[in-house]
Parts: sequence; structure tokens; C-alpha cells
Amino acid sequence: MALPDSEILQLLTSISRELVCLHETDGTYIYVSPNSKSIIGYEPEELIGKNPYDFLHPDDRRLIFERSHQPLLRGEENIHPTFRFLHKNGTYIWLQSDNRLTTHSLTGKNYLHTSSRDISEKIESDANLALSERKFKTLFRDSPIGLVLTSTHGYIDDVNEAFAKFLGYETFELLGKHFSEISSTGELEENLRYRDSVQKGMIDHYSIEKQYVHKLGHLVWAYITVTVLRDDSGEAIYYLAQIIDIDERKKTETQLLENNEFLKATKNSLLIQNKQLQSYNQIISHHLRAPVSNLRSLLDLLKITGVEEERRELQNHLEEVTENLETVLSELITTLKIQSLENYRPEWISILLTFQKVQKLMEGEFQKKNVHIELNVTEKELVFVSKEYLETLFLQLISNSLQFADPSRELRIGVESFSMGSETTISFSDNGLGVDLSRYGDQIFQLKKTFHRQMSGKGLGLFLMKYTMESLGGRVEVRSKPGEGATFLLHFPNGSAANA
Amino acid sequence: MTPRICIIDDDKIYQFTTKKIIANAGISGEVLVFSDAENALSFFQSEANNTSILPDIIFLDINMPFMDGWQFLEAIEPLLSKFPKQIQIYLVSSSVDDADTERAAKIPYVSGYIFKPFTKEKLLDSLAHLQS
Repeated sequence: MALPDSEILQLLTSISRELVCLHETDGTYIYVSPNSKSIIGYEPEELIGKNPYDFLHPDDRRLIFERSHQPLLRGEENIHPTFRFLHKNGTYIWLQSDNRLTTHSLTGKNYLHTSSRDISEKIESDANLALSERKFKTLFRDSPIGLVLTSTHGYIDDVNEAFAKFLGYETFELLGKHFSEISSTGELEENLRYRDSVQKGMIDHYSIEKQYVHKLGHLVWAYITVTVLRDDSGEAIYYLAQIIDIDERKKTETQLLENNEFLKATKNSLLIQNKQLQSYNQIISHHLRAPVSNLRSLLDLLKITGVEEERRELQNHLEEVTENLETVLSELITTLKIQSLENYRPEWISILLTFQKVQKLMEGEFQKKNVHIELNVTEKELVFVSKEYLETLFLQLISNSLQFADPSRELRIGVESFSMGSETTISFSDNGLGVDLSRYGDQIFQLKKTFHRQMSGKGLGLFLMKYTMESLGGRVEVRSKPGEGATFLLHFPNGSAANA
Repeated sequence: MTPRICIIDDDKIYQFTTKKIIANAGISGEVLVFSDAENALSFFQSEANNTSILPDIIFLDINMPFMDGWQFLEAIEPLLSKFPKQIQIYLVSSSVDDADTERAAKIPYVSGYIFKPFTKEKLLDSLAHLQS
């Protein structure tokens, strides 16, 4: 059963969110749809016969008249004005209308037809958006912290004054550059790894210390925090980097670290020098004062002795002691030469060639004692030292091995080398008598210490070797077992540490 | 009485001059000489009860190979109270290092510290203490 037209109209307009009205050409309400209460707070009867201009926001009246009302009367179509309308509760709400001119088919009279909806909510959120955008823009531009907006591909979309100034550029010069163009290569990998994690959504922001390249070419330190900006679907669209200038602090920090390193090195070299001075004191006491006191005793005895035979014996002893003194003195002079490193010129020296040279010098001795040499070094293995020092060290080691060879077997001497960290090590081993290190370990490099009864070593050779190695910034180690032989490890610093 | 003197020192020239100085001081009798402290120690161990062979005074060098003067002192300490007579021990060294003299001063059974060269005066001085 069909409803009468008026009822259908009633039903449709009451559920619609559109306020439908019919106006005289001057705007006077003739019809207001029954849902008017829910949209603008008035019952239809309250409006009929009134003019909408009385309800428009004063600022919008002129706009409506000129942009909507008049064009409509001229016959223009598709006019959708947005305006503020006074709700019955006293506040203005935003309405948007579709307005049309309509002509009565019988009378030919013109009417205005409006269909309006409340868009206050949308207007508000748009306004908020615009406001927050404006806030962000201001914040971005005026922030004292450097700010950079880069695309997901790493190209710079926007930078602020603070950042441009930090790197010595004008802001426009930086736009469009790829961020890697202004970053030092040092932290690039770390930076990219983080960006990758951000892009994959594993993290949302990260902070690192990195170096940028200033327009003038030097590097400047910055502490940066990078935040990802995502769209509604969660897709990363921008990276926002906040950059704090920490160049001064980093430079001070580096300077402090360097100073600290220098102090440590100085302290070490002082400790070594102190130990060497103590050893020197020992040499003076035992190697110089002892023979000198012998000389004194012999001379005193010579004064009171009348017997010719005794005088000759004393003279022989005097000669012996004098010779001994001369030897000790020349050894001491060698040590002193080692200590004054001003003329020390280390270079990369072939271990093999140097050893072979020393081997040639000792050939007679080696043949006489039937010494077997095993060289496990190639010509390319180098050590950073002066040639004479390395020769002296090899001579000392060889004479040590000869002196402490086990008479019951053929002497074998082995030489090899290896590198580890900032050191190159020469390993020199023999199958001699060896030393009981658990008993003599702390004394082996001391003066006038010999460990085998049948030998008369003065113990100066190993002392000199340790002294030399320490003066060069290196060190020496010994490994040995009685009856099996000994291995000496000479650790040489590679390069600058030698001068520390 | 003629004191029995023992010298422990690896320096042959020192041994020679010291024996001469002792002889020139008019002290007769045998002087016990050891070049090696370990040999000296085993001598004292085996002759611990032999009053006529044990010395009255030992001049002990500090700086020697194998066993030095300090190690000898440490090794002989337990024997000292077992000996039938008191033995005076003097350290003799060319070292003028304060560390050595201070260390010696802390050992109660060391009677003194003699700087080389060894002389007649130093000998007589230490023997004078022996007789008192």
C-alpha cells in the first residue's frame, strides 16, 4: 500500500542528516525539514517566515550573499558554500550546503533550494592539522638543535638553519643532497644498519655519535637522534634527525685520551729506565767496584812485599784484573750506547739475511763444534730494528748457546719468527743444557748469574740482551727445561712504539 | 788463640789477596776457602759437630753465582744453634747499595758488613770483636 507523498517526504527527511529547506528568492524560509532540531536545534516552525541571514555568522553574511546567493539567482549551478550558522544553543556550527534555484512548474515562480550538513568536526580537525603543521614548521625552522628531514632513500628534503650553520652551508644548498655526501665514512655503516632496522620497523629511533663533513672539508662531531615518521598504514615516509653539536667535547675527549696514552707511555719508559738504573747500580758495584778493590788490595800488598817471586805473582794478578776491567768497561760502554737512542734508526730488516751474516762470522766456530743451524724464516720476514742491534742480539744468543751447549750431543740452533698484533717475534732456540726456570727464572737476566757449575759465564750477555730489548720498547722471554735446551723469544714493537 | 778463618767468595783474586792479608797480619794456621757457597754449606753440614775444624769467623761474599750470600745465610741459620761453638759471620761486598747494608742489619746472626777492599785493619777490627 502506497504512502501519501507528504508522509514519504516526512520519513525521508527525518532520517537524513541533511537539512533540506525551501526559500523565497530573498532567502525567507518556506519549508524546513523536520530533522532541523537535531542539526541546528530549532523546530521547523521556529524558522519558517524568517531569513537565514539573521542566523549566519556576521563574518560570513557578505560571503554568502556574493558567492552563493547572487550567483544562484543568476542561474549558476553547483554552488557549495561553507559557513557558520547560529545553533539554538548559542554556538556557531559549520554547515556546508548544496544550493540550487528551482522554478515552480505551474506558476513559474523561482525558489531557492538548500540542502545543508554539519561539518564542524571536519573543520575542527582540519584546523588542528593546519595548526600542528604550523607549529612543527616553526619549531623546525627556529630550533637551536639541527634538524634534518630525509626521505626513505636518504635524500635531504628539509633542513633548518641550525643544521646548515653547523656544517657551514646555506639551507638551500643542502636540499636534495644525499645524507652520505655530508657524512664521514667512519660511522656510515653503523648508521645504515640502524636505518635498516628502523625501516623494517624493528626500532623507531636511534642515537649515535657521528662525524659530518663540514663545507670546508674538515670533520665535525655530532650526537644525532633519528626518528622515523610513518604514514597511517605504518609505512616509513621520512626520517627526522636531530643533531647536537658535540665537536668541542669530542675534541677535548680525544685530546685527553691522547694525553693519557702519552702519560702511560712515559710512565712505562720511566719504570724501565728506573729498573735499568738499578741494574746499572749493580754493574757498578760488582763489575767495577770489585775489580777496583782487587787492584787496591794487590797494590797494597805490592808495597809491603820484598820478595821478588811474590812481586811477580802480584803483577800477574794486576794484569789479569786490569784486563778484566777493560772488558767490563767496554761492555758498559756498549750498554750506554744502547741506552742513548738518539742515534737509533730502526728500519725493516730481513731476519734471515741478518742471521746469515752473523752465521758467516761464526762459521769457523760452528764447524769446529759441529753446530747444526735450522733456519725456518724466509727472506720476506722482517723486524723493525737497526741492523747492528739485531746482529749484536744474534751474536749474544749464539755465544750463549755455545757456552751452554750440552757436551754429550751435537748443538742444534733453530730460528723462526711470527707476528702478532703490533709485535714481531723472533724465536731462537737451542738444545743445550737449559736452565731450571722454577729455580732461576727471576735471575736469568740478572748480572753475574750463571747456572752451570762447569761454566764460567759472566752473565753479562743476557743482561745486555734484556737491556737492549727494553730500550727498544720491546721485551724478551725465555722458556727452558734443564737437559732439553732453551728458547728465547725476542718481541720487537712494529714502528712508533719503539720511540715511546 | 789462633782464630780459624773461613772465606766464601768466588773471586780468585780476592781469595788470593785476602789470604795474603791474613798471613801478613800474623795469623797462622789454615784458612778455609770456598769458591762456591753450596760446597761451603755441605762442609758445614758434615762437620757440624767438629769443633776443631769449624771456623770461628766467616767472611761471606754476597754476590756469587748458583747460591749467593743471602741464600747461604738462610740455609745455615738452622745449623748455627747446633754448632758446638759460636761462629761470627761477616758479609763482605763491593756493593755500596743501601738496600744491601739495610738488609744485612736486619739479620741478627750477621755480625757486620765489610766493604771491599778487604784490609788488614778491617780484619783486625772484626777479630777484636771475636775475642771480646
